[in-house]
Amino acid sequence: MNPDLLSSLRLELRRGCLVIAVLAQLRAEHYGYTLRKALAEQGLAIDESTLYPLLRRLETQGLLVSEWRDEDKRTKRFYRLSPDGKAMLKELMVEWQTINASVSRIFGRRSAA
Amino acid sequence: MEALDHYLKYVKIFLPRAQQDDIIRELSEDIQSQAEDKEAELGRPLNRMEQKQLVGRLGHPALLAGRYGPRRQLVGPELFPFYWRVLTLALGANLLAHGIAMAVSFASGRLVNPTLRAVSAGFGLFITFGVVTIVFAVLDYARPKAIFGRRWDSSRMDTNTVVRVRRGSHPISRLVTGIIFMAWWVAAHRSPALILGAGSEVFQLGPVWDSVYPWILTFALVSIVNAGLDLLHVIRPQPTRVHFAMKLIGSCGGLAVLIFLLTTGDFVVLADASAPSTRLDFSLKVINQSIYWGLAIGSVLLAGLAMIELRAWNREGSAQQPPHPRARGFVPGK
Repeated sequence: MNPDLLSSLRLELRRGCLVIAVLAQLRAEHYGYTLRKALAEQGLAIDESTLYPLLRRLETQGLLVSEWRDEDKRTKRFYRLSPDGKAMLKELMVEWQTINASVSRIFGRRSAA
Repeated sequence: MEALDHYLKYVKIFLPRAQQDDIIRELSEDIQSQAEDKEAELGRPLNRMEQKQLVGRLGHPALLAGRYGPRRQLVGPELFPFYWRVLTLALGANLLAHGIAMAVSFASGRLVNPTLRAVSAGFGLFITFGVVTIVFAVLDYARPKAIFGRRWDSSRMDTNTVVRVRRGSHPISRLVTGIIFMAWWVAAHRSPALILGAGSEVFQLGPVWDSVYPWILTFALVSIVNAGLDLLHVIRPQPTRVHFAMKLIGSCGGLAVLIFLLTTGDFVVLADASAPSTRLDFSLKVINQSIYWGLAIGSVLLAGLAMIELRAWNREGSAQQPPHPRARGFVPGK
């Protein structure tokens, strides 16, 4: 197996999943570090250099809102879903479940055959 | 943390100015939180080496900062196939031109310094690559979806367009090659070396090219307009008679220019007529014969193209006529 190809396909597969995972995790307010920890605890580790640019992109797209606030003697940037983000997450979840069900069916059919 | 401050200073250099402080503050906060967790786990402050390891994991500052920038590519995946086709065509034509120039200089017995020739060819290829890339980058910036439209209505598509696209003469390719040809023709008129290459030291273009220069320019423009109309036709498939008429004008006009050129003969002449030599005369004869036969083949091809356009014009004309009542199953009196 070509490891570079595997790595590139894995990256491609993860890219879309990360957006849904981040949006879903931000139904509750988080700052960057706790968000990363929460995602890692759920088995979806994501490094800083991927997460923070993604958060900014989602905020620019109007799906997240953020504010700087003091916590534990340090100023942190807290993120949460915007109303548009909530609606988008709902749509994306439907899409995700449809894709998941289709892929599962395809796998099921293959293993049955 | 000294290592963190040093690292973030480097990251800041590569960040967009308006967001620098905000991003650095957030990154700094994240690393400090990581360091605190690690210290709590170890039960002691991190030493210099551990701090460096923590920061080093983030990768090169430029790469980290680069992820914050807008994702931009010169030519996106939608236009890339057309870009690639035009680029290979243009580079191939350029190489061919240099090959011909080399042959001409060889035939004339005046071989230019090979290093100079290679540098000149490389520069020509580089310029071609740059021009094609810039044109496509501008098209890509205009958003391909705005050019192609978001929806595809196959019911309004006529088979001619599908055939044309399959044959590889996509309007975008023709539009770009047309623009490049026109730019090259204008430049070549001022500096014939673009056509004759090193041979321009010995030969020059005959006076006939001056008389056909505006006509070739006009028909190149007509061809660009036609490619533009074809592009519109792909976006909104509604062929009109004006559209076919423009194509016919392009083909017939081009044919007329070629036939006129065939009646002349002195396409290339000696630059210094006072210093004739048998070898140069022979080369000149071979070059003019080659151009003559090239133009003759071009005329036949263009005549065939004009016939096809004429048939398309007739077909479109009959398609726009209201169908005969019998053809529609109309029975008088019912």
